[in-house]
Amino acid sequence: MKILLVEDNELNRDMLSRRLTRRGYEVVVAEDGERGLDLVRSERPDLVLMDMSLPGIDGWEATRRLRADPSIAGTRVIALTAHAMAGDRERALEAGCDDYDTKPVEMNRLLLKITTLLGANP
Amino acid sequence: MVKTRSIATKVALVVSAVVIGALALTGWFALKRTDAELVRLQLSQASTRLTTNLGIAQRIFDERFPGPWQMAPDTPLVFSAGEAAPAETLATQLFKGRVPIYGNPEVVAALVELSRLTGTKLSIAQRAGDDRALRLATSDTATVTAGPLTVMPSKDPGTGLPVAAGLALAKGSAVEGRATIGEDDWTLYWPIRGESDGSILGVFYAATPYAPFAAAAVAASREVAEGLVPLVLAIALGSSLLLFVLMLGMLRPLRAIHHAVSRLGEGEWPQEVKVRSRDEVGALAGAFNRMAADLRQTYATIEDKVRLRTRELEETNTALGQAREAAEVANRAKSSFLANMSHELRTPLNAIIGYSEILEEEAEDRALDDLVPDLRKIHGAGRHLLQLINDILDLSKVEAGKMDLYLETFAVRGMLEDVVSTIQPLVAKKENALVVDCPDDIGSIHADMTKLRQSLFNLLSNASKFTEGGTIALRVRAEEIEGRRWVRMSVQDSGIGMTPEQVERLFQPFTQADASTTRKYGGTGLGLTITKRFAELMGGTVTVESVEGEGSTFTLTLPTEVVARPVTSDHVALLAGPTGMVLVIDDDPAMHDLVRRTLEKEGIAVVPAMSGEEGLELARQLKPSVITLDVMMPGSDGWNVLRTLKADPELSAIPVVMLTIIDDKNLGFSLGASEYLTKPVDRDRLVRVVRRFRHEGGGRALVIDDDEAARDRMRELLRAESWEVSEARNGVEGLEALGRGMPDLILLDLMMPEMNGFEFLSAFRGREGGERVPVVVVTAHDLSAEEREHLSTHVARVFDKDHLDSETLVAEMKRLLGEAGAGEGTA
Ligand SMILES: Nc1ncnc2c1ncn2[C@@H]1O[C@H](COP(=O)(O)OP(=O)(O)O)[C@@H](O)[C@H]1O
Ligand SMILES: [Mg+2]
Repeated sequence: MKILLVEDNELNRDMLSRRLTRRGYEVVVAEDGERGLDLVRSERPDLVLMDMSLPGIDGWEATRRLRADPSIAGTRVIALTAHAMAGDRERALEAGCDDYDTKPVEMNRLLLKITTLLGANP
Repeated sequence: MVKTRSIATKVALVVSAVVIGALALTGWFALKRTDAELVRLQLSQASTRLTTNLGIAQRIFDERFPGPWQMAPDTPLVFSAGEAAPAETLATQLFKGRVPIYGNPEVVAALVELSRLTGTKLSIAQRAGDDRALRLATSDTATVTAGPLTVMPSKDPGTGLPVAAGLALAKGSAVEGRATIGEDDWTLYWPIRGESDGSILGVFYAATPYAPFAAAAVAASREVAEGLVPLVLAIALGSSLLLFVLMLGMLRPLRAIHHAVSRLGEGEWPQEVKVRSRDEVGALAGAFNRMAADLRQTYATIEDKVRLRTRELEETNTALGQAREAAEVANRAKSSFLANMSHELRTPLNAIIGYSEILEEEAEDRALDDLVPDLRKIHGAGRHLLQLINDILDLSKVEAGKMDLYLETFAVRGMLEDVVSTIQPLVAKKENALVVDCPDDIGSIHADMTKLRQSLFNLLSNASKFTEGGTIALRVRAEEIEGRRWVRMSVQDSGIGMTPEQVERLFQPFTQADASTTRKYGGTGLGLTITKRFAELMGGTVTVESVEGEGSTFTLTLPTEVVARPVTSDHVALLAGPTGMVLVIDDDPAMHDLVRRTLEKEGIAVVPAMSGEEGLELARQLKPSVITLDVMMPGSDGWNVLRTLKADPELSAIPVVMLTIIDDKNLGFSLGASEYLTKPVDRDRLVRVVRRFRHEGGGRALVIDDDEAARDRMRELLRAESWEVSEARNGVEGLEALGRGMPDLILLDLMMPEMNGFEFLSAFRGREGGERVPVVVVTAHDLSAEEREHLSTHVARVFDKDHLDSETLVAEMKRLLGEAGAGEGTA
């Protein structure tokens, strides 16, 4: 199973990718939305973990573009946001995300969401 | 301007009417006189003519019938048959010479001829035995045939007697030329005298008809009058006109004054009224001018003051507006700062928590077990710090009114299970047992799930934190109060509990039951505050019951159907500076109107709340300086609102004035009302009461002290606390000052010239109302035990001047004022 992690913060990116790798996932990373979209096209990940506040194209916009491109529209997306506000969840779902989780990531919860979405363990 | 009918017109109309009337009257009289004069004139001419004619007639008779006039001696008159016999028999018969007058055709012919010659009607009358004249012959043949004996109708104008009687009276004397105006004729008599003794035997008389003369005279004067009428009218008209103009001239100054007064009445400033006449009008104008000038002066002063005040107010308003804007900007800045900051803080925190987790996992994997506890501590501290940041962010959002509600309908049970599973580790940590008691049919609730969950979590985590090896019970019940459905969730623990004092301090940010709590249990004192704010946002409440050492029960009550309500920042805009505002809780809009108009006139801002619920919310948001409260309202009634206000430590200090129809002062005061007013509202009273409570801590103080420096100090001190201060230099002046109004409190020095403090006290306490005003003695004097004893019964407190702690003094005064106020309230 391949996961694309789009996250601008280096620490978070490193940390999350390491933890996911440890759990047996193949992890690809991108620092911004543009690069993220490119990687979705080239790498064809099973799932995208999308940070929402990104430089340039933000997570919401990136998700919208992803859904607009038929070749990659089927990719699962989980939004990650630091704003633990109820409004953010709705906004993320509206943009086309399949699920939503808040940062800091609670590993077990996130893993549960990932397996639920992918319908399988890594 | 008031519509007026000109006085000049009125006067001119009246005057011309009078003039025309007078002229007509005099004209009429003049004409009458003219008639009479003319008649007399013509008649005197006629008289001459008649005299002449009579003379001619006599001469002709003398010629035709020679011989003297004589009476037949006692010859009975013989009337011809068929003729109407006179009522009297004639004793005598008149003869001329031998010719009898009566019945003699020759005599009649002569008379007729004479009449024709002179144009005059001629008759001869004989004197009857009773001195009445009888006509014997006449030139008027018609008369003759009608009856020769006609008693003369004419009367003597001098005596009013018949002419014959006049003749008789004039017996022996000449009655020559005597004329009489009869009803129809004008007649001239000519006596006929006997030869022998010259006595009057009869009368020769000539008559001319009177009517033509009169008619001619009237016609003549008419002609004259007709010639005069236009002239008379012209005069009348002219004089009226003249008068009108004159009056107009005289009235102009009055009009000017009238005009000026009207303009003044309409709020304009009239020019000076220019009247130079030295009469009453002039005086009036002068007086008016002076008055107007005075008024203008006064008005100008007032206007100046108003302008000044307006400018001041405007400045204050602008300042306030700017301050508010600045505050808003600052607030926005604060919010965005907090939002950014929380992001900035959370990102590194994320890393700390995440890496500590990774390290923990890896340490376990690599069997570096001795590192694990430390890594756990780093992880725990990170989580704690995160919780703190989240709490602060939440609270600041609520405070800034930026906390929105995301309402959704969800099953209560599901939510509870969620919370319980999250809290379970915490509960287990201190070996507590968690009991959940919730009916199966509890159903669902429409609320903000995240906030409700967080609230319950806070309460449960507190219970877990402050309980060891005990029981924590979470009870949920559905309730119906006043037609509204509620869900009541209570968290009961058997932990350390709290003292009443500690309970009182709850729900305030960063406040914990006591300082040792932080040391022992950690925490920030934000959890309950946030829980309460969340509950309020959703229209609910959080209450607490606790017994020290036995445990606590926190109860969260929410409406089953939470309604989103925007935070009414409009009301905040009404905040009227340091004077504070009055919150009026009443369901009757008319009452709001009345109170607002009454208080705004006093410069007190009023915020309306139409229900108890709204009132409570606004009270929390705005912290008004006074609340007025109605009792009978739909929903939460006034008693409930009062209870809630007084149970809320943030609001309990706000004085509540009951304003209601219900007269239950005892209940009101026992629930904590500061004042009780019944409707209909006595506006003055309302203003007084509100004023008293609004200047929190400020009343009217009278400072009695001979030491100027001490007075200055007190004054500054008290003014800073918004007291109104009046001063007196000794007891006498103090008593005088009382005449200008009873103060709320008296600060009294003891050693003073003229009348010292002790003397003042006994005089003052004897006065009406004097026993209620608290007196605080501030003295440098060393008191003897006896003096102390004496004072203790008469004054509230004695302060040592030399070691005066201003804060204590002010606090004490505030307290005394509050007591006095309460005293008045219950009175
Ligand atoms: N269940 C309870 N039993 C005893 N004391 C409590 C309980 N809940 C709260 N308190 C007291 O109220 C204070 C404030 O609580 P809270 O606002 O949650 O802050 P914190 O838990 O961070 O101290 C606590 O510090 C504690 O003193
Ligand atoms: Mg707490």
